[in-house]
Amino acid sequence: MKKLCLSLLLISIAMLSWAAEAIHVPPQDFSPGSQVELLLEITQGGENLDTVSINYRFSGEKNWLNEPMRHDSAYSPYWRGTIPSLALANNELEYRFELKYLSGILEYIPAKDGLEPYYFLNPFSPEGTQSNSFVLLSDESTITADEGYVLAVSFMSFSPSLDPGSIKVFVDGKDVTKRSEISNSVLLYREDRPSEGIVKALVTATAKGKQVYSDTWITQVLPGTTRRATPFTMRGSANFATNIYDVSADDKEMRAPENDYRGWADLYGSYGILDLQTNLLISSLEDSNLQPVNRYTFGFQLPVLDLYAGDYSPNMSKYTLSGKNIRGLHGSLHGRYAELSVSHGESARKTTYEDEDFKTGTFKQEAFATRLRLGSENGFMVGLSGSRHRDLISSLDESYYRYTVTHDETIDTVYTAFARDNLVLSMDARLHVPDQHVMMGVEVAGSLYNNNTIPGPISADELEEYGLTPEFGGITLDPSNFANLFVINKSMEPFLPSRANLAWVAYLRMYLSGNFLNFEYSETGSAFHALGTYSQLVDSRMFSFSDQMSLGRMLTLSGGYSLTQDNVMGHKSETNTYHNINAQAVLRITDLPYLKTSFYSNTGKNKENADIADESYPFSPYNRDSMNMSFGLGYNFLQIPYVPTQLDISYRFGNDFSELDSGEGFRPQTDNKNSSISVSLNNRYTAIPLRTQLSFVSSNNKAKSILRNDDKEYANSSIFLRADYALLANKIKPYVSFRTTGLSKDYGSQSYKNYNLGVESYPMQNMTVTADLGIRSYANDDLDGVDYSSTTFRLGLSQRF
Amino acid sequence: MKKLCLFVVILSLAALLMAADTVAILSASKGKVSLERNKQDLKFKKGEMLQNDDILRTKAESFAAYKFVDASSLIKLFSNSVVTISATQQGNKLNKKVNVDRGSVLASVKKGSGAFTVSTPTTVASVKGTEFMTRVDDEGNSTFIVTEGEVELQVKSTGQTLSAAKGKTAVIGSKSEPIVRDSSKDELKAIEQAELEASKSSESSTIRIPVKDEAGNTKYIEITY
Repeated sequence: MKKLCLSLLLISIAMLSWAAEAIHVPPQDFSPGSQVELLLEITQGGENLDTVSINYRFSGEKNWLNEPMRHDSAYSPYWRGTIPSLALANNELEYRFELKYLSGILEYIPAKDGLEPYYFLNPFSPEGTQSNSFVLLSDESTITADEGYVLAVSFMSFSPSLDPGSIKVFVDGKDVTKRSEISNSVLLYREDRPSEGIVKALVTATAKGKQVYSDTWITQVLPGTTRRATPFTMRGSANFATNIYDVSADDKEMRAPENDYRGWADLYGSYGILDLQTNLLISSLEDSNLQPVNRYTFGFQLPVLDLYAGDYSPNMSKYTLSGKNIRGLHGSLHGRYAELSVSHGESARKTTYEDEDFKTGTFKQEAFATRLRLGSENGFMVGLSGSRHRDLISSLDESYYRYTVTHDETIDTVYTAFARDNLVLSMDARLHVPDQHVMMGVEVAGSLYNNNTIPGPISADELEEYGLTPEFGGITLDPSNFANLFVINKSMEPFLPSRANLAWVAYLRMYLSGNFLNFEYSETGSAFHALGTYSQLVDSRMFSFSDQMSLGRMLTLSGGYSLTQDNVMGHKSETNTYHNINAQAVLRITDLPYLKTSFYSNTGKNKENADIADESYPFSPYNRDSMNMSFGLGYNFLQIPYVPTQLDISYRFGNDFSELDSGEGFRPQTDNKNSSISVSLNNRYTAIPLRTQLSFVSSNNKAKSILRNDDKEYANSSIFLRADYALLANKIKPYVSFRTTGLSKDYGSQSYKNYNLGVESYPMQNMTVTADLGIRSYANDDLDGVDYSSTTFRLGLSQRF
Repeated sequence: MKKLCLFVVILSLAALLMAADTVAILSASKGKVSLERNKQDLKFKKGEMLQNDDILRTKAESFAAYKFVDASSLIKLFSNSVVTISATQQGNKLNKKVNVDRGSVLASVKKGSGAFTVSTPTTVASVKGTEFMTRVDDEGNSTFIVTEGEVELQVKSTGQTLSAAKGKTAVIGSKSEPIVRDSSKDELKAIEQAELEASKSSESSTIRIPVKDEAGNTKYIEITY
């Protein structure tokens, strides 16, 4: 029993450290008209990740665009992603990584804490060499909008080495080549009604087979007097993808998944002070009896008003409504010193299940949340928030949640589904001093939670039976009068609100002498429930501290410490305390290899609360100590003729040790050791348009478990190979990839192999069409009847705006 | 005979292709300015690509300017001027020629570029890095006022060569002997005046400069000139 309890405890502790840690070395620059390839190394917690994607935008833009990342293989730390070819912009390109965990929680790197900067790319250093042979003929540095913008560039000095067909003209973040006139020696781009502001222009071309680029020419456009139509700008993408499956397996019961398709579009438009937003996702996996897969959002933003209809994930406050989807209406009326936000809609759909003997279902859940902010976000502000999540009993036929027992006198009603009611009220305050880079705040929240509202509110008479007087100030309080707000009955957890219903957090974030410092302390009562947020770790206190320091782009140091302790209410017989320490460093000196290292430590133990004796559960002290460390380096070998190579190598090792005292002194329970080496090679050949990728991971794990009474050693290795070849001036790019993962030693001899053959094509500007045929096979030498092979054909279409 | 015909056809095509090359761009125009190409008037805008044998005409109180594609020279046409543009590429150099039929033309030429000549009914002026005004009156008399560098002049009718340096004015009449003399104050002042007039718009212009007040609101300062 003790061992079982310890196992459960270790699992719950593992849940505490779900957060992944990652190292990313941003590319120095990106080239106008070229893709930006990003590599993210997950150094800790990768097994908890569902998907990783890149959010990117030009600084100053409101909305993020999104590109998914691809995991090299199941055991690889590497995730790869590509920001589509972008044009020159006035501002830097900034990006962050969005990590979605299996639990549904979203996390961002860098964190969305309001102070820590995003990763960014300098837009003004394209590939190739700068050439003075591009000569600007239109050399007015200042014009008015009435005059019109003219870019005239002579490339006569290049003749005849320059291929006019290779010329690309970038003005104000856009590839305007198609709108430019290009003659034998001059190119001309004209904009009759330019927007006021700074216009930056740049030209790239291929001369003697090498990429060359011009100066960046800057023109200031002053406002004109002629009234001009407000331009409508739009960004986003429209996409379609389909998967067709087939499977062949020894196990005849094994079936291929149903073919599926999905189409999605994200459009962001801007018209003067009006910003518009449309997000659509339509999938064949949508089932009206399951939670929604389809998504649709229509919204607009004005300087004082935001309105969204459809699916939206508002962030009211940490404890009331944060990051969870609501399908309905969301509005926010905001000014500099006040803001009122309201969200209302469906947070879960009604579903039913039935077979011959049993019927059950889930209720439709309605969510309502509101928040009032008083004060400035760039100063002092106070916020009052409230959220209510209620399962609507009327949404489900009674037969799906209740039936009457006739054969048992002790039980008359059995519930197969429970309708919940949850009310959370919170107050928060924040002081933000942007000039001093300081932000501090606090939030206190209280919740009421009813696990079964089906019996309805408790009566005043029943309240008296509990010794509660339903009179207050001479007025009789009847819970049924408040049932529209919250259902009070015996299923409340707890019945009487107490400190256990509270949660609070306080934080201090600041930028000090090159350090981004973050301190946070929180306590969550054992009965605190907030259905509008992802799972809170109840009955716990947490303290965390982190620091990130950068010396330019050369050295980045980050680290942190966190303490997690349960039994904050002091009503359990033991208290578990965990300490986490993490540290990372990336050193990158221009033209030299970059170095990186990371360290993670997690130690924990329990302590008996002598005041609360529980003879049925005698105290068994334990210790847990786990550690992981990694070292790595990378370098872009531009010196290698014909095959410049981007290399990344990481070596990591760690251990996980736990011991338990069951009354006979401490004895080891688990003693696991692991080590792995990861190598990533990216080659972009100069003589031919070939690009190859290689990723290799080999890891070894020794696991000693007293709980299971075994001592095992596991090994796995995975290889990922990919090659693509650009044809027809990068219009078509066929590729082939191979991915294999082999498990050996005490895993038995197993292997997964994936072969992919596909083609990416770019038939129009900003359009990508992808076709991919993948064959996956699984072989197990030790077990019969489990081998299988499957085929997947994927077709994708993406048009960016 | 067939070979000769073929050669002629190829040569003609080549000539057509050459003729279609852009040799300059129109960098400014004000007032009544016309552009003639292949005996047809073209609609044009600032930044128009100019080709060989294009003819630019300015009328009264009008102005135009163009740059050759090697960015070595800026040609300004003042009121009532007619200019034919031509240039040929020789390697990386562009040999430029400005035929001034009538009016006043100011040429600014950088050193180190290809040959630059200004041709009038009476004279061919060759320059290498200089600035000078060319005037051709209705009788075809040509006047060259040199404000920078030096200009070599060849009289078309006699082949006689002259040289005019900074501060000198050469006058080559259709019926008189060519002379080189000091530029008069009036002539130099006339160049300045012409440039000043050219920089003025026929209508007043207003620019609005955005500024932000303490509250972050955008306000505009309007300057009319």
